[in-house]
Amino acid sequence: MSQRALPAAWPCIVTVLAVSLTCAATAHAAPKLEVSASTLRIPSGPHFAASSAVTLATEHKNTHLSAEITLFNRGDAALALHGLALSPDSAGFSVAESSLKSALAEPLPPHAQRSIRVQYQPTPGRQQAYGALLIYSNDPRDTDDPRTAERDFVRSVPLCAGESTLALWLWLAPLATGLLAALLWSLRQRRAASIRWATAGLLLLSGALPLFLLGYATHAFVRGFGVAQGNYGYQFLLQRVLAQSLPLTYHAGLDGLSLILAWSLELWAALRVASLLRSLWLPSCITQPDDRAPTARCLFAHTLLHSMALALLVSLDLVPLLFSLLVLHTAMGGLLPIRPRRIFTTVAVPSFFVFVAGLCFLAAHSQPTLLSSGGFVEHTTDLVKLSYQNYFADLPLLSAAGTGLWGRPIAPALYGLLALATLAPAIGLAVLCLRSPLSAASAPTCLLPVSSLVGFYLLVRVVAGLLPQAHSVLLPSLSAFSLFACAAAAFSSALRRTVRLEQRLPALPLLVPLSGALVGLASATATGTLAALLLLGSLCLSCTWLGQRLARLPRRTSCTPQHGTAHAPKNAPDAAESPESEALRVALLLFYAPPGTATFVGHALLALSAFAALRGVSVLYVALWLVSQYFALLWLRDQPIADKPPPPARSLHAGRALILASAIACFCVLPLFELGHTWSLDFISHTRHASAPPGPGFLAHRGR
Amino acid sequence: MEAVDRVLPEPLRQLGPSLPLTLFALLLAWLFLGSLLLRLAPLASLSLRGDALARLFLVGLLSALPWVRSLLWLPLAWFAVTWVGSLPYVTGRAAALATPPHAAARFLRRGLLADGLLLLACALFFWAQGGTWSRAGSGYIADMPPTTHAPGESRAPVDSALPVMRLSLSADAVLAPLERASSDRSGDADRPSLRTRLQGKIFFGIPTSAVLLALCLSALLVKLASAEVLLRALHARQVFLSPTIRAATGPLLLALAPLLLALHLWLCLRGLW
Repeated sequence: MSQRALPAAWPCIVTVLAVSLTCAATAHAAPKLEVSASTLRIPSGPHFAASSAVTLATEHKNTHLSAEITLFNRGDAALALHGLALSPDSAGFSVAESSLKSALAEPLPPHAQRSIRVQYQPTPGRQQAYGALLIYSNDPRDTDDPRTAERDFVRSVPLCAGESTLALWLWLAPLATGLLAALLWSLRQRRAASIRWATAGLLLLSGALPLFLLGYATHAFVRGFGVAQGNYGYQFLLQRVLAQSLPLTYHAGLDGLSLILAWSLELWAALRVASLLRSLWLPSCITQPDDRAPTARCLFAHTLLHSMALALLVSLDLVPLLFSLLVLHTAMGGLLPIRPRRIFTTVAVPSFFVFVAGLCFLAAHSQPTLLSSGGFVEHTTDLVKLSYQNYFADLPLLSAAGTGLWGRPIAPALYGLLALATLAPAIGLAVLCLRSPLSAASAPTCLLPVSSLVGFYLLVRVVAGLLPQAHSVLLPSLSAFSLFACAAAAFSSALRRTVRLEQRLPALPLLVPLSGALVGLASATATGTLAALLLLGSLCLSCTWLGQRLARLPRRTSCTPQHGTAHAPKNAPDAAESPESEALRVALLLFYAPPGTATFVGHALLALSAFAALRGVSVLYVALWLVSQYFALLWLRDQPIADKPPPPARSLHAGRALILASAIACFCVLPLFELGHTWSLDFISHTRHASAPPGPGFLAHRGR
Repeated sequence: MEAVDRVLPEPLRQLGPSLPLTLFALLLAWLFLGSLLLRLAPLASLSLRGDALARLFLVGLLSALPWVRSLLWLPLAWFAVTWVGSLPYVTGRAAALATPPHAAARFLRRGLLADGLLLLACALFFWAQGGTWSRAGSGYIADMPPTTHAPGESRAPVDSALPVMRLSLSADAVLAPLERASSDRSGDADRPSLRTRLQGKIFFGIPTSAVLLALCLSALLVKLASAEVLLRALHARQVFLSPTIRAATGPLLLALAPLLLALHLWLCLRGLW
């Protein structure tokens, strides 16, 4: 029966198919816009090559750089171009007037093409520019512009001039070379000279490459380039959208703050790499396993710490920044012995999650913005846009309609939480340094400068950047609180009798520079801010060198159950009697910062600069510094005099050279300050809100 | 780019004096740090001792004192003298030269107190020239409104007043050629004198000049007291009666240095009151 019915149904089937095919053909009769390049890149330098996707031309007479982009209509219907526009952050870019008129004059017929010329005029000092060309058309596949009420379809083409990948290579180069070195060192043929030489060479590269790149960046850095000049004061910018759907972006750049801190970090890295290189040639490292020889894991953790700290300093997007921070803390934990690692993890993990939660909360309340790819995003993670294009000061906890306590702005509480979360790892490491005997304080002492530097950077760049009003009001109190905490820690350290004073690190020389950095920031002066950076840089030198000398002290065997530190056996040599004692004493002298060293000058500059805004805090700071100097002088008095000096070790000569170099640094620090001066002025402008008092007045006379 | 943004503020500019001054200051810093280093870790190959370098440092510093007027370098010199002053307590190879510990602690306490007081006085000197502290509770208010910023943004009020960082009280003060070159470089040759700048300034409701007088006098007297402690201790050990001049020169210089510092400060400030 079915065989009979089938021929009868043929005409119906053919008719239905024909109708459906006709309908389908009608539905596809639509314009289809295609663009010749996904990104329009215009190198801003005088020499650039034309890429295959984009036709570039230079008009040297007007110092205009221009590039052409071609629009294709691949559809079956005419493509109506309703308008061409540039995104708000496309300063310097413009669409050539002739292109604009011809493009909008008449619709683009099917399978036709039309060129649009985009011009870029570099401004003095500004070497990079990013933006987007917005093409409004009737192509239904394009996205609707959320900023307008009517339904319009827009296609965006990212514009980019003078893109620089320096910020990327700054951390990628040491990461790659360091990981290779760790991989080589993990091979079993460690005794082979070739493996040792190759590992050493790669390690050296991992330390030297960022130094070279930083040297180039310093040379090419435009002094005086600030927020007013464009790009919010950042140079060597790199913006890439990694995944449009997430959206995941990579945004990196350098300004005065990150450049100075990167130099400080490289100072730390140079000392660490030198120490690791020396350890590679230890006899015990070659003949038998020894915990003094660097393990592959140690090299791996050092590489991650170094490169991720650099990545964090250049990152201008929250996602890569938080990822770097997470890896950095993990690497720090990997470099600590077991017991201190547990204590550090107990502090670092909760603080990290508090930090992430606070930032997520702020990012969730951000304004819709344009990505560098030209696409729209509802909430941005771009640090610059969060800092400069959002206002979080009146953000209520629940909703704008909330009443009572819960409806109040939470910026101060959020600022306090975030500031504590940024500084908590450094505080944890400082506590570990102070509670351990000298022989066990090496690792935390070496790591403290990096942790302080990162904490300071996050406080300035992220917390103060996002909540400038709360920063202006609360930082003086925070700095005063940190000074009181210093005094309390020094007092409690002096009272502890479980470990002798000579066998512990002095509290005040360790803590006063850290608090001093906060005081300098709170002083709201360019001098104070830059002196804070000087203090952090000199801490990177003195603390790291001291930590490395402590690592050479005689080993202790058993661990105390109470503090996770070591007890010396009864016949173990004292620190003062060990062969490295002289080098240790020289390292301690650098740590105590006598007059003439960079740390001392940093303290003096801070005391001078903080007096205007923070009278009481400044006096307290000077008092603590004087007490620190007093104990340093007493320590100097108590040092035994060697009638017959032992043959000097190489580390002793290096320590002497570092102290004398610190004196030179006092006079050579001005070029470094010039790098950061414009940033400091911009930072003060950003954090000083019109409603805030002209000078923070905690402990100063402030009436109503 | 605004040119003013590239000019460092006054306290920082003091770190970069002219080349001869920089070299001389660097030499002094090396002598001072070298004396401490040789004290901690003597060099077997070098017959030079920490005392000798300390003596050279003191001679260099004291001879340069008439030209030290910087509010940054003056406290630094005071601190350095206190540090070097601690050397006779520790470098006495002969036990007879070592002074008792309580005297050492007293000398260090007084010396550092004087240094701290001078540092705070210098800070007050510096800021009081360019502004005043509001009694209404607004904190520090600069005299001149900021003019070098983008519209809608305010620069730091404390750096815009551009106070002077030198203790030059009158225009006809005797200035060394080096210092004159330095002041010409910073472009403040026609500035009013410090006394003029401090007129009518109030600090905590008290005239700033009076606060400064109290601070400087305290620093000066405490420094003198520290010198007195050192002199007494060394005299009790009959250090000055050493048979050789060389043995007595070092302690004598160390004891005289605080006295000379106090005298220098008084001479610097004599035009203010």
